[in-house]
Amino acid sequence: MFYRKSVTEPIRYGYAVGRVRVLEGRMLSGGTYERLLDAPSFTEQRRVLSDSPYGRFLEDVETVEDIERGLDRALDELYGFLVTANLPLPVIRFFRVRYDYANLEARLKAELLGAPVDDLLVGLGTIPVEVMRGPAAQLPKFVRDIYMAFADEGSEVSEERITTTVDRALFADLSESAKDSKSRFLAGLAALMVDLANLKALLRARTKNWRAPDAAVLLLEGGNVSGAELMKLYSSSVPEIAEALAKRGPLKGVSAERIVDLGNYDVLADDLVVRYLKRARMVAAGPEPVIGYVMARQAEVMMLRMLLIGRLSGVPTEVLRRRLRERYE
Amino acid sequence: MNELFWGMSGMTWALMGAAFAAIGGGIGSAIGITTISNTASGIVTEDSEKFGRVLPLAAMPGTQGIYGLITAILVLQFFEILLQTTAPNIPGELGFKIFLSCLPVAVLCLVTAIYQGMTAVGAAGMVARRSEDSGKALIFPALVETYAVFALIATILMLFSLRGIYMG
Amino acid sequence: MAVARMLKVTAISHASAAEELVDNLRKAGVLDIVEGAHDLPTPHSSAVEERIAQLDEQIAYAQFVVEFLGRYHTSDAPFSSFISEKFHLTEDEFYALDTDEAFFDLYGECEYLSDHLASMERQRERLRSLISELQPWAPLHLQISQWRGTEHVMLLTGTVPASEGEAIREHLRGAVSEVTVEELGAVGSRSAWVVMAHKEHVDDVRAALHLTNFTEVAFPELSDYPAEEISVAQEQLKDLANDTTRMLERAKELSDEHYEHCVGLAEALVSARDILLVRESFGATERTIVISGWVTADKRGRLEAVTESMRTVVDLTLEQPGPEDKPPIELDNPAWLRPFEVLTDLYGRPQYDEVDPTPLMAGFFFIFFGMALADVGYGLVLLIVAQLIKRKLDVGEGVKRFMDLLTYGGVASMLLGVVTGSYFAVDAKLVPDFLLTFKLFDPLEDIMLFLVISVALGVVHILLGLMTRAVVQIRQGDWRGAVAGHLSTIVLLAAITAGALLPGATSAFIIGGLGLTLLLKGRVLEVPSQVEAPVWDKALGWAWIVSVVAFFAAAAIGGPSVVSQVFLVLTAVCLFISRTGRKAIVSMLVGAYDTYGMSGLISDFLSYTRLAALGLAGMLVGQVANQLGTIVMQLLGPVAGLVFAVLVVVILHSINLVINLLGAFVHPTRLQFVEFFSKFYEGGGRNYAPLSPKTKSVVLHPQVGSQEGGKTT
Repeated sequence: MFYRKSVTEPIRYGYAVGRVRVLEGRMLSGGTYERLLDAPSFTEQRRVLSDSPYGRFLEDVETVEDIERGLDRALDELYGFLVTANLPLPVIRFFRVRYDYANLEARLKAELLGAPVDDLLVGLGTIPVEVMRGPAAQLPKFVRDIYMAFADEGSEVSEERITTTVDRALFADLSESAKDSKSRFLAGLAALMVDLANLKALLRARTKNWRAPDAAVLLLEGGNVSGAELMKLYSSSVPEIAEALAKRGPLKGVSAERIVDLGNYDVLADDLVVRYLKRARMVAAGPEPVIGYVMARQAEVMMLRMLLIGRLSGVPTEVLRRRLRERYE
Repeated sequence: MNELFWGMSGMTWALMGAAFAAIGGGIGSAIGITTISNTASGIVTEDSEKFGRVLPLAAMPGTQGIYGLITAILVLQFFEILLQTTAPNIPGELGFKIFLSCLPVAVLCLVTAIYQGMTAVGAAGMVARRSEDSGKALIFPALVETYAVFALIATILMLFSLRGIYMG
Repeated sequence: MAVARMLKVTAISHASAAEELVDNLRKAGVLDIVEGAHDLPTPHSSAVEERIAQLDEQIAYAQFVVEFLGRYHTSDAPFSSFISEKFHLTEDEFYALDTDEAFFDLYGECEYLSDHLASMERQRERLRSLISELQPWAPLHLQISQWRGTEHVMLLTGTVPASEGEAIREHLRGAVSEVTVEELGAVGSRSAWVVMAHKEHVDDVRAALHLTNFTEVAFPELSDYPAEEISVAQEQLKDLANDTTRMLERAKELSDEHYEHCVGLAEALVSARDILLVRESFGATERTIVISGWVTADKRGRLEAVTESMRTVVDLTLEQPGPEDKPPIELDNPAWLRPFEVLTDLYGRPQYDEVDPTPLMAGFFFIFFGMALADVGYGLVLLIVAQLIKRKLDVGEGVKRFMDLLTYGGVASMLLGVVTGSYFAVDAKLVPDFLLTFKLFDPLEDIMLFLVISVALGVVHILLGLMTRAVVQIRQGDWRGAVAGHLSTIVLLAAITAGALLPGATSAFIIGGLGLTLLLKGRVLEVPSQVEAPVWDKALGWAWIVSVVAFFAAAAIGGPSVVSQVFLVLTAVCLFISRTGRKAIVSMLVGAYDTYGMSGLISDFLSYTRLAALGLAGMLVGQVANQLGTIVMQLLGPVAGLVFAVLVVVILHSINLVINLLGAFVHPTRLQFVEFFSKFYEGGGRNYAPLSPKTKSVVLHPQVGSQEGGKTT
């Protein structure tokens, strides 16, 4: 353990850390976000970004679809960085696998509704889009199993079942990849993500007054707080649950009002992830800075997507400002 | 005087000490330099202008290997092994003492070089962020090296005293 | 001392003259403009903002062109891969640079070339993969447009993993009886198949294949025979290659012609934008703008000269900094000390009211460097190389200053090399006698002496640090603080030294010094005057203090034991009834604690042994280099031996020099920063950065014969 932590990891991740240290300096600053918010038009925003690494992905971009495509290319480049930085496969998988599940979900739902699947798939996962769209027999095992399970069931499939099943599989896969990577930091991140997903499910179910067993099904394993532990709170009212959550566990220190505000729960969740990632900055060598950087870049693309598309479709500045996340800096 | 000590001749003990020092310093330096060099090459990949600024950092953990080498040379020189044609007269007990004298360098150079490499990775992060800090960044890994230098001094003093006592 | 005096500048100008004023200030290059020295709003001018936006755009264009042309630019300066290339322009040339018609044409062409080169690369990629995909089908004598089949027969083209070929064929035969498979050869690990079946069975065939690893291949955009299509693609590739070569040639041409100009242009635009952006730190009223900043006292003339002509519209006030102000810091040392400012800058400049440590550490750095690299040969090489780099290569100001520092280092190494008789670490027996005239000792033989000298230098160095702090405190009027602080430390050190030097009086000096230090560090003598207490109480306190002094005196020079008894009794009494006495006792204990804290000094002193270790290390490795050279010579005979021996020796010495140079710079620097500065120096001053163009690869030269002159100070 000691040997790995102090010798192997700094060497294995050293190259990636070096690149990350430079790349971090090229991330968008708070001032840039302010300028993006203040910019009166999308053209102006594009000018603000022209010097940034996003400049070349946004050249000649006019429509919402163009923005989506440009930013997807930026993300693809980021994942390309993971490969060229010689990161271990489980780490790369940790970041990309979510798109496989998103694609699977899209395909299942499209087939359920009888819609064409082609436009819905994103090419950011570990499985190429052609394979994802191709015959079921050729799908890699981890998605094929889920796909087949639904294919066998036939009539009982509902959109909601697809979402929960795929989510569950995704988080299980993330935990597994994190474990394979042998990085405690990544495992902690996976656990935190499970926690945050669980809490959201719990609060939502409670707000809608579901029966306890129905809610319990939604909770995933692999978090810091087990599902059973969370279900103990279920008999309380929503504000009481929020009070209890604010005192311990992953939401410790967050105000109860913020927890109850489910409309902005995703903002809160992202802030907490960023808070976890900030710990990575204190580590000089090892996987932490790299993971922190990749997560931060993902968040950056997400914020840009919101700011650019929001401006293009005329969302008021104040609404956009509220949706801005804490930054990894 | 007993020629053997714990079954080994004085010369064997002395050479073992010299070898341990050279090996310990060498391994430590190799690991330390690998660690920081990986990061340095990552930084240069993204920003080739930083080459000159991270190079001294990458070279820093190399000194421990030299201290190991120096210790080995001192053993050979002080006890008349280096470039001799006849076997030197080293009693077993003296050999063992020489071996003990080499231990500070053998162990500390191994450990400090590895840690210096890791500190240098952090310092390289400073350089990557702000080029102007490259001078300051050199100082932190140098703080680690202090203990390798002290180990070298301890070893040199011990070898020096042993030579004075036994070789006249 | 050597922190340059600063004057606070407030310039109030009529808004209409703002542009001219800023322009003049930039030319003067002496005013460090600060933000927020007033509560006024920043001036707002839509014309300026528009100009900034325009410049932003042009900068982006210029940087694109520089980046594009830079790919095809090769520098002919020596060592160009190590030193970023510099471009020399006169100031007038630089300010005259602006975007013009020709530049936009150039931008257009660069963009055209860049786009086309990229798209041709993509096409080439596409054609190559098309060819490799077509390759296995080359033997097939069937036009691709016919691949869909005829009226009755259906064709399916695709690939299967070569290893599974047999199994898939079996599977297919089992599912459909009337099917033919033609195998065309392998593509990597897959084989190309043409599956023929009757139209009626198409769905069965498809269904059967769907369950296997058969991947359909089609070339919808092609129609001819595969072999024909391959040669067409190859033809296209050839054309592409020609086009690419032509474009690359054109790019190279453009680069040769315009690169230098564009680099200058890009930086000129950035500097023009900076000049506009600096307005954001101005204050504005309705009619005027207010500029606040700092100028060094000796350069005020230059500032006044440029505003002289604008006297009617600009009001310039210069005043001394007040206690609240935080002026920027410029170091002002004689030219021969200036290279050492590199070290001060490395740590951070002093605060305005602090001492500039440069003159204090310069001498020590010189000696320390020399000790860590004590060899005449190495010093000479270092000196020559540093001066060559400074004079022959096109390097920046900072590098030049650093090279001067290394030159000093080289001189120091040579001096110490003479003292230790080390010439490229050559065996003393082979060194001519006259070179050894000044040899004082051999570090290898007198290791202890070398170590002691290192530590002794350390003691002097640290004492200087302690004394500097005391002097600063006394100058600020805090002489009590100075006594309780570092002066008492010095007293104890002096006492210990005296004790060590005079064997008869060792314990007298040490115990006496210790007692005195405890009293001074605890500020015990100040206690009675500070405590509010009745007279008898104070008297008891004084009595206790006298008894302490008597106790230490008795212990030091041997006195009657009654003294210590009186001391103990008084202590007990004071603890119970005298407030003053209690306070004095506590102060004494505080003093004891502070004295204990001094033990940190011991590790500071020992830290200087590194100098000896580094010096020895360099010398020993140098000796090994020479010995290896000797061995090579013996092994290979006189002629080949000499050649290889010289080679071995030169290479090994070079490596040794470089590594030791790193140590000889870093460790003395550390001794300054960690051991020396910690005694008195805080740092953290802001560098004086006057308004002037901030160029990167462009070096500006003052116009020949112009009034602004060079940087003469």
